[in-house]
Amino acid sequence: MSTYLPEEIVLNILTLLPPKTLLRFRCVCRTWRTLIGNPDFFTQNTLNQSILRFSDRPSPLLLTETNEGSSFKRHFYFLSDQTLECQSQIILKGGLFFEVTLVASCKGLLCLSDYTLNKIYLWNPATSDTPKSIPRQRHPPNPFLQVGMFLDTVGFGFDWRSNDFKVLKISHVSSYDSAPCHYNHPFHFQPEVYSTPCHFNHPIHFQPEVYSLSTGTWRLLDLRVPFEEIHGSILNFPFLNFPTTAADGIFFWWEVVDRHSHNPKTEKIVAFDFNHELFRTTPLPDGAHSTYYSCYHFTVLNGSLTIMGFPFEEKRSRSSGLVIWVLFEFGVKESWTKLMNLPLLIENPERPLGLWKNRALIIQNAKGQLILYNLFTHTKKEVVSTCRNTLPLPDFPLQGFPYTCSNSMRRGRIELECKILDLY
Amino acid sequence: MSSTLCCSFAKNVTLRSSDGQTFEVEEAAAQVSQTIKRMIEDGCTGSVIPVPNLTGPVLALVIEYFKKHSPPSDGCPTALLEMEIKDWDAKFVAVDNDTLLDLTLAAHYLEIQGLLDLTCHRVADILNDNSVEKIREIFHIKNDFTPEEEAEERSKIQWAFE
Repeated sequence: MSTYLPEEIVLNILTLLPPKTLLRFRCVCRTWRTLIGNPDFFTQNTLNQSILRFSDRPSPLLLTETNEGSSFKRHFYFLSDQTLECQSQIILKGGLFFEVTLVASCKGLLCLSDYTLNKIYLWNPATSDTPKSIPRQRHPPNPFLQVGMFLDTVGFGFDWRSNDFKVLKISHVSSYDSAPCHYNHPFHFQPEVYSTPCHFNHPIHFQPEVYSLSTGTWRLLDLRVPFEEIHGSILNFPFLNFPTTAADGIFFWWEVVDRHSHNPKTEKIVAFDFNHELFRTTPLPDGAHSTYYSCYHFTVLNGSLTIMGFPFEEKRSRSSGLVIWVLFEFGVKESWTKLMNLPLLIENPERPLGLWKNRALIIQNAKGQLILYNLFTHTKKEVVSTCRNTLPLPDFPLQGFPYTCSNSMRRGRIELECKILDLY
Repeated sequence: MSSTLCCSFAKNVTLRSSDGQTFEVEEAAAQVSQTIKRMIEDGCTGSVIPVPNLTGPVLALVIEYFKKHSPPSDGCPTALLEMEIKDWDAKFVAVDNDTLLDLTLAAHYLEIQGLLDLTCHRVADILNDNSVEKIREIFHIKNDFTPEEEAEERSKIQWAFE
């Protein structure tokens, strides 16, 4: 009796499988190949749905920055995963040099980094109004390297093996003691200095350290950091712009290169695994490097690293399509799979922010509006949110992060004064 | 004791498998199957209900499932009961591959959504752990690719097989 399962049931079973298994099973027989579908063509087939399926259901967290006079503000919008309604809007206010960025969101905990002040904060916005700063690392970087151009990089994740949140900090260390430019304090830094190239004769190397939340201590890691070695002009230093994402205890950097001084083909993904405390890398495939897009969203979908980008077309100022690249097997360049360039029937898409309910892309357009765009039916609608009247001004780009929270985030609109300007 | 309660205890139906075996089961339990529920509503209860797609051993298993999943007589299922049923379900589908596929088909024919979900997830777990060759064997699928076609298909995603 069991010689034949109806197609309906086979399809039912296949939809439960992860994309990597589905790709393998295209070789089972012709029927299965048809049922699974082609990864190069963006239709509502089993494979593409599997790729777009979230393993859990995080709601997107969006943030933006608004400049009001001399004071910077960082807005956090927590949107419901069911309705996209804005459940909480939290505004962190700071002083003149308040430059906090979100490193990553992991199991409800946010890691924030102030690169200019060299401080790192952990924050559970569902239970606490105040981001708490963690101690500085044991080996503070060379003071010269803190002046704003040599920005340390920070990663954040959850180590499943020791059940602990961890922060990774990669400092730039140089044996060069007397700095050629004498800036002892970041706030004495004048803007015009940025245009003066400073040259090093000594190489800089990266020093990784990891902070454990449970022990409250930093620990030096004896690991080679696989970022490109930085020599020569510090103006070419692109660290600030590295797109990052995190999932399942692994933090990813997309090492974008300066297109004027480096070959974009050398771009790669660097990953730090918090569970095993090691670095790994994967090159980008041809045609997927950062210079190819006007804007992109770097994320992890259903366990696979994903780049969603609006390709930059030189003839037109605005791009008109969406390219999705998925990395099925980290470390294997050949496992990058390009989902076909999908035409977007939408005016002036500015930047992709994330996926909603496995089929709709959240896009910010040139007017600053949020558009929900169904990738399969090509229907679109504007996201009308309860905090819409305060939602972003066109000039301030939003960034999307997945956010999972055990408590319900219904806090309304909160404005928090963030007193973190402890000068040193 | 009220007469309705008395009746619901007494009301049994008889199911007959493709190989002629008959099984008596409470009507309320058998109605876990949408197909059987419709037949009962259409007035087939007087005689034996034929289940021509299922052999005796498979039907016997399905009836076990009916009994475990029939709606409790005293109202809402408790959390403890739900956990117990979940454990029972996991053991219920820990069977050999052919039996599992038979149960999947039975759930499909008899429209037992809970059992269909259960078996499909179990089959998916088995699929995930096995090679293409093993999948063909388990599902009795004939490889209808030419060797060249299959080699080409595999070469496109060589990484997935390593």
